[in-house]
Amino acid sequence: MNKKCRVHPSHGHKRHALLMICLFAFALTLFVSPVMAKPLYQEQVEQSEVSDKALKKSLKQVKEHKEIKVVDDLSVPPFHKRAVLQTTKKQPFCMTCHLSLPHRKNERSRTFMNMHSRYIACETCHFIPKGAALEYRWLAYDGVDAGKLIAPRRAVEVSVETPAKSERKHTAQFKKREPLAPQPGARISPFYNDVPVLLFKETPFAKDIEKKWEDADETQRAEIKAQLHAPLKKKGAACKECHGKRTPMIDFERLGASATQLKAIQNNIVARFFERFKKEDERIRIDKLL
Amino acid sequence: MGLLAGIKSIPNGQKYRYAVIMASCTLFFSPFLFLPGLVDNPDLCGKVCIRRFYLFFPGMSVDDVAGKMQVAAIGVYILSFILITTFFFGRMWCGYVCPVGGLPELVSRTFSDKWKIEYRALPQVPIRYGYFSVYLALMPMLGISACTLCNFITIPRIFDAFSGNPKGLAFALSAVGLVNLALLFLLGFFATKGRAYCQFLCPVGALDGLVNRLGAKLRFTRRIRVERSRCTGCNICARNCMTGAIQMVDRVAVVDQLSCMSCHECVDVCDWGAIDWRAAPLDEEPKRKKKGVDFHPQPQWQAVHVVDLRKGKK
Amino acid sequence: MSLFGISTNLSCILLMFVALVSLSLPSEAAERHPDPDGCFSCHALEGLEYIDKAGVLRSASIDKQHYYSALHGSVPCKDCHRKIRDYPHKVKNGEVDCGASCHVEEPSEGEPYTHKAVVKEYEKSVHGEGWSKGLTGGNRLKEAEGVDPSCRMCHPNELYIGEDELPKFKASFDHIDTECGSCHQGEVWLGQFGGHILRRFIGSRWNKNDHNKMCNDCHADHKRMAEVELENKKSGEKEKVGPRFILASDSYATTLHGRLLETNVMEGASCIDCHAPKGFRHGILPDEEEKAATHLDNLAETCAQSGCHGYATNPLNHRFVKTDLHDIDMIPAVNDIAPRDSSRLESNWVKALIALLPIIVILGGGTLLWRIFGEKKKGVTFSVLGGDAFQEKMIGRKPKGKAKKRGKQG
Repeated sequence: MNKKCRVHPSHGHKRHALLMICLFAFALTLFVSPVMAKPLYQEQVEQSEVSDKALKKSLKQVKEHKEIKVVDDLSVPPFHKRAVLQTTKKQPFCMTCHLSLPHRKNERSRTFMNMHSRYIACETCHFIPKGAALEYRWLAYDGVDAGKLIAPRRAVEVSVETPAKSERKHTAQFKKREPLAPQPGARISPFYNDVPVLLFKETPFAKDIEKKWEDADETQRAEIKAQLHAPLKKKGAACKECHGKRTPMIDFERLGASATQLKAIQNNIVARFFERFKKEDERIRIDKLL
Repeated sequence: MGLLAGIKSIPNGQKYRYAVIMASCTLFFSPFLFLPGLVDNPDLCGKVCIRRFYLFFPGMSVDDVAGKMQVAAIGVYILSFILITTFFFGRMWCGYVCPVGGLPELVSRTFSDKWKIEYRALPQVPIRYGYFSVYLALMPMLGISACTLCNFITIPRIFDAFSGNPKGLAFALSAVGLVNLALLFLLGFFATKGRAYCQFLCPVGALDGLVNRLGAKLRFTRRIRVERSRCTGCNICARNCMTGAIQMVDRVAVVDQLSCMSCHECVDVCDWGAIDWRAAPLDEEPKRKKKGVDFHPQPQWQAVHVVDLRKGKK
Repeated sequence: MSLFGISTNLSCILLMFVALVSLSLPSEAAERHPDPDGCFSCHALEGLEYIDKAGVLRSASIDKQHYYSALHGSVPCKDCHRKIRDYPHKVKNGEVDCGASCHVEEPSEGEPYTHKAVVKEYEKSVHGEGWSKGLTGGNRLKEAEGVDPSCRMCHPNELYIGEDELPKFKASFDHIDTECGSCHQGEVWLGQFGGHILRRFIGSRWNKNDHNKMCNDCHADHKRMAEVELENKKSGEKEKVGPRFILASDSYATTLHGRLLETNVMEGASCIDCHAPKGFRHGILPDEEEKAATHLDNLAETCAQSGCHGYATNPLNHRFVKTDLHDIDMIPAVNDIAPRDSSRLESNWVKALIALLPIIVILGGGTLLWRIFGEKKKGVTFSVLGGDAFQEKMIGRKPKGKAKKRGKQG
């Protein structure tokens, strides 16, 4: 027995220390590195339970789904010049099924909501889990640092730049608003513990789901669909959550808004009058809007 | 005669002329098109056409003519250049440079004279100028369709057809192209010496001939001139003249300056030195004079002899 | 202190209220172009798009700067979209009638401006069934299915001064006060009319190549043209058009007019220079109709337009006028639309062979045979045809054959 215990004391301590170091490092990599952590949305999708009602609804939708093909160029050009359809380097996972302009059915707010999709991530409005404190920060969707958190701009007061008199003679010059976004393609996205909550198209989880969807039949598809949408809210946050409250859902000041910009957001007319006329199909007289 | 022997028998002066014609063929015709290419022209038409400015339509005004000359300015300059050099030096363009006449001539020379049509006996001058005046008078009716009958479009296009340009082949197989091809064969390849088109139908040539004749009486202009006292009447020059401009009258060669192209063929074959391309000197003093008596008869190089060709007497 | 008799406190509150209201409104500085109905308060926002059931991208965002620099820049929104009153806009209320008059008053007569006359001319033309009213953002797809072009198919709201003309315009406009202003005094006049007149003085936005491009957008599309049905005058039935119609654009491109324009030499005639030279230039009529510019009787006048073939009206030139400018034989033969069947093949080879074969056979064959089998005589050779005449006339000696004959006889 003595012989057994006659392990050299220093060796034993060394081994023990080594083991502790290894464990600690492992724990560190597991818990501290944000890259290894799963987005909250993904976690919730995996953990959530699908109710029967939701499953039935999902099945119905899968059966009745009609594919919409985007018509590219018509021989009749649009009369008014307008902006081009935007695409970004990193695309949200939602885009796999819902096209880049997902809102279509609600006649009065669909264009406004699609406009927001240019600078607000899908999950910001549609993924508000109970009990999780989400932070809203700028995430780059385009450019070199796509997929990463980016710092907000310094709050810039709206500058009034009158173009030179001779320039004004020739073309109509209009004051352009200072954008809030620090770079083109950046969107306000939710973060949980410094990890972006959302899912991008190229991640392995997303690809896995896509593959499953292709091989699945209708019932299986309904299941996948229901699972994906379980943690989400269909209706999304109301306009007043950002545009009306004194303490809006998104901390605009932290995102780089100046006082004037903040005021403009909070006093937005469209939001105000959507608040006033709550019913969806109510037609609002335009002269009352202004 | 074998081919080599045939080539050897060509006088040196003529070898030079053939070389110049071949060079001009490559410069003016595809696939090289060097000279028209300098002014961005794909063929000898359009900007560089030397004939189009004298096409006219009923109802045209002087301004229209001026306009045409402006559009075909290069053609006007080329034609003026040709006429001016002809005035001083004889029809060098026709004889030495013109690829449209030169090509059939060279091809024609590759085979024996026996199987050709002899046009040189026909009365050239009446035919040529008769056709020319009808051509000028008929132009209001022909209008732009004069282009379809133009040999300056035919020969290049046929050249095109053989050098792989489909435009040439399309032309050659069209009705107009086939007519022109027939003319090319009849008046070109199978004509003795190959210059029958030039003799009878070419309007540039007709104009050039007039200028040639105009300047021939002047003694300082260089023309093909005959020294009558040296001419032995051997008729080698008449036989070899590619345009049939030389006729033996009373066993002495007479050159018709309306038809002569100054090709020098006659000069190269004359054994007696009786015919030459030269200016007639205004004053030629004999080298020796003894008491006012000339030992040697004065050479009298005459370009134009006023001859009654029907009777054959001076 | 009182303001109009109101107490101090109230006046202060009033002032503050005014200040607050003006601050809370979106701060747009005074603009050159007012928006009386306030449409741009929403429509100037970027990104107002959605994809409708048919898959068409629908955008409500209007580039404000572009709109005010475009042709209709001084036209307020409601002058075209007349009945819009509520939000969400009812589709029917937003319909636009291009022939309606707007509130912009034409300066010469003070009448409200309208495109009615152009629409009238257009409705009488071959394209008369193209939409000129009832145009909305949503029915672009339906409209594209029609054969005839609508107003907006060719005329979207383009910039008033084209991009490539802008430098020229700017350069001239900078001198406008010294040039035009030497007679027309006053900032107001220069501001209002100067640009208007100068733009027309510099030149039409569309040059001939633009005209051709506009026509070719449909007429060069063979598939689209193959679907066109025209009424046969005799039978009264609608028939599909023939290859001459379908290939009209291609055959034009082979003519001198088309080729000149392709190389940007503006001497060529564009499509509408011949097909609709007069009036508002929208009245293209079929060739068979008496009033058409391309009717046989009217062709001379059309060709003799100013700057073109002035002598075309001379009756002696009638053949010139009848030159076929849409000759499908000029197009490369390899196409499926006008296949070369035996009816179109006119080969002149048969006629040509009658001329060529004898020459080639007799003369060419003779030459060859002579080379191979003939007597290799040294000396002078005279040709078989005409050689005797040559000897007699030019050289002056009797040909050998005749001498022999004489010898025999006498």
